[in-house]
Order: sequence, then structure tokens, then C-alpha cells
Amino acid sequence: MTRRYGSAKIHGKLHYCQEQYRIWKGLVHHYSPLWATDGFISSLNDLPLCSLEDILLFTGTISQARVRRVCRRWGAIVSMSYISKCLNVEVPDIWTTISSAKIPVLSKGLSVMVTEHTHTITFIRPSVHPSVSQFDDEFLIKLAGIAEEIQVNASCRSPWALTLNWDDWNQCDGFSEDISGIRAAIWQDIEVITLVEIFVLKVLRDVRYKPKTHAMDVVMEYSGGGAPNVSLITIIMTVYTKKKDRVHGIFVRSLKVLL
Amino acid sequence: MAATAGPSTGSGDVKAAAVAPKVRLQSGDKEIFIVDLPVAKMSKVIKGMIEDLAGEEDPNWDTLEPIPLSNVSGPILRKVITWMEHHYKNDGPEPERPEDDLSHFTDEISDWDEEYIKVDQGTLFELILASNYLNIKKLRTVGCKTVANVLRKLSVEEIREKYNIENDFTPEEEEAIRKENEWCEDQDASK
Repeated sequence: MTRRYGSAKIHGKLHYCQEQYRIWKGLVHHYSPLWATDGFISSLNDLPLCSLEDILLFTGTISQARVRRVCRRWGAIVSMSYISKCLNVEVPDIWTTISSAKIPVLSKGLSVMVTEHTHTITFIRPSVHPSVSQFDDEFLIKLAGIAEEIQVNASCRSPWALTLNWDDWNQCDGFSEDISGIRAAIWQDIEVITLVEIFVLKVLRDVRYKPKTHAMDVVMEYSGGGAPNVSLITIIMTVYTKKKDRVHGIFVRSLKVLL
Repeated sequence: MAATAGPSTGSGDVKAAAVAPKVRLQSGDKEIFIVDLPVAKMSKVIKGMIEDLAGEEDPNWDTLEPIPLSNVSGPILRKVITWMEHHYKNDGPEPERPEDDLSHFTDEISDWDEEYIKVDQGTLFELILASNYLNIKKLRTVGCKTVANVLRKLSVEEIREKYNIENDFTPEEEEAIRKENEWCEDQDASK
């Protein structure tokens, strides 16, 4: 009994000393897995994600491009933070920081980061003003292959709006392939159409879309974004329930585009 | 452990100190700090704890149990309290801001904060952790900006070395990212 008590006492003291050491260093790792750093922080990566995000964001637009090369995690944080926080609030600053010749490079860099961001996203793309005149024959033929009805409207309020009515969305998995013609005709880069695709697939997933029981149409409107160098693309996706002949849901996403 | 006085118990230099009730804060290493209630409330976590402890009626602050802050060591808590007391005295309570308010991104670090944050790297990290845990946004911002200012001056290799970060990119990936960002690497040529 005495020996066991002594052993427990020593063990307890050791544990106490270890804990004191950790406390002294400002951390007690068993309180939070995020802080499990063996008692002290030896790397910036040991900081909580929100703090590391702030640090990397505070380095500024120019330095972020460098620090994202430090490691994969930093790359991901900078990219996500850049889109979700920075661009929406500091677009003028970014715009005045970089030259137009650099925008395509930045645009390419940004395009890889949007897969999980289906909310309103602002991003920079090459200067391409789509217009109704770009809806040439080749493009319309391409669309005719995938949609039953194509409607292209132009008005003062909305420079153009494109509506595609599908009855059968069996091919939704191949959406990007089908839509590549649109990309070539209108956007000349992949970012916008990738976002559209992500959004559409997300909606399909969320509503558990089944071609036999559902139908849908997609409207993409292009309009001014409140500033000379900003445009707004609005994607309106309506899902119908065939049997009950009613609208199942309307889903809208807006993308701000810097021109 | 016997209660000890905090770094400052508000002997008249803090707004409304003469009438402000005091609360006791207990660090992870059981050190007790006596702090003016409005000062302590600059931490949203402490504010929440106080509201939970106090309930709806006005409590007897002297008999309330110390508020346990297990994740913060005594030396760090002392430094945090110093920061809170200074800023309460000079700025008043931190205004309520929505979570997505990013206006602090453009705030400059004040001269006092700059002097305050001149500490070794370990202490700086612990201050960031403590301010994060205690939810003192402004202090966290000061800490994060200080680290960011150091990062700005270092090359990628220097950052990895100073902050013990493993390069997990393949050379090809790193080169690809470098090319993506070459537009600003030009402007950043000195790094």
C-alpha cells in the first residue's frame, strides 16, 4: 500500500511538474487539441487557424504572393482568405496595386481556390466585355446540342441574359464539357464558367436532383456592378418538380467580376 | 494559493475606478489577479463568464469565486491585463463590431502598442494565443500585425527557418506558384 501510494505520489508530482512547465510556457495542451504543441509553440503553424489567417492577411497583397510559397497550408490560407475576406472589401486597393498586364496571372492564381466558395465571390479576370454580338452561329449550334430552348436577351438594364431550358439533365455530370463552348464564346477563360458549374452541381446535390422527377433552367445575367470596372454576373437556377408541376426551388448566386 | 494583487488595481487611473467593482481572475498556474470589472469585460470571454456567474441580480463581487482562465499563464495574463487597463483608460470599452467587420485590417499599431509588443517571439505567440482565447480582438490584431510585419521583411527561406515550417511543396509545385505570382515577385525582388 505504502509503495503504491509513493509511486502514485511521485507520478503525481511528475505530472504536476510537466503541467507547470506547460502552463509556464502559456499552454496546457490537453485543454485544446488545437494547442497541442508539446507545451510550447515552435512553429507559426501551431497557432490557431484564425490567428494564422489574420497574420498572413496582414502581410498585404504583395507579400501574400510570397508567403503562400512557404508551405501548402499557407498557400491554402492565403488563397481562401484572399477570396473570402480581402477581395470583397479591398478591391480598389488591389486594383490600384497591380497593373492590367498582371491581371491574367493573378486571375489564374485565383481560379484554383474557389471550389469550396459558392457564395458571392469577387475575382479578377482578363478584360473581356461579353456582348450579344458574341453569340455567333457556332456558339448557338453548340448550345442547341445541349438545350432544348435557347433564349438570348439584351436590354438596357442587363447587357445580356442567357437562358437555357433543359428537360433532361442526365448530362449534368458532363456539364463542363458541354458548357465549354460557352466559355470559348463568351468568357475566354475558365474561372467564370467553373464557378457556374460548381454552383449548378451544388444545387443539384442539395435538391437531390433526379432527371426523371425534376426539370430545371439556368439563367445567367450580366449587368453593371456599380462601378466602371466591375460587372455582376447573376446565376438564377430554377428547379421544377415535374409531377406536381411546380417550382421546387429558386437558387441565385452573384459573381462580381473585375474587368 | 494565496491571492495576490494584480499589476494594477485601478487606484484612480481607470475610468470610474472609484466605484467600479473588482473581479478576481485566476491564471492557469493559479495566480490571482484583481481587476476592475469594466476592464476585465474587455475580454468577451471574461464578460460572458461574469454574466454567467453573476446571473441577473447584482452580485456581491467580493464573494464571487475567481474566474478561472486555465489556458493563460500568470505572466501572460499579467501582460494582457496591463494592455486592457491601458486601453480602457485611453480608448474606453471596445465597441461592438459585427464578426465580418474588417475595418481593423487597416488600423495602424499605436506607438504604445508597438512598445508593448516588443517581446521575444515565444511571448508574442503566447499573447496571440491568450488574446484569441480571451477574445480580445484588438490585442490579437496587434499581435498578428506584429508577426506580419516581420514576415514582410523575410524571404521564403528565412520565414521557414525562423518559424520552423517544413517546405512540403515539390520543387515543381513551388516553381509553378512562383510563376503564378511573378507579377508581384518583381515588385518584391528584394526578398
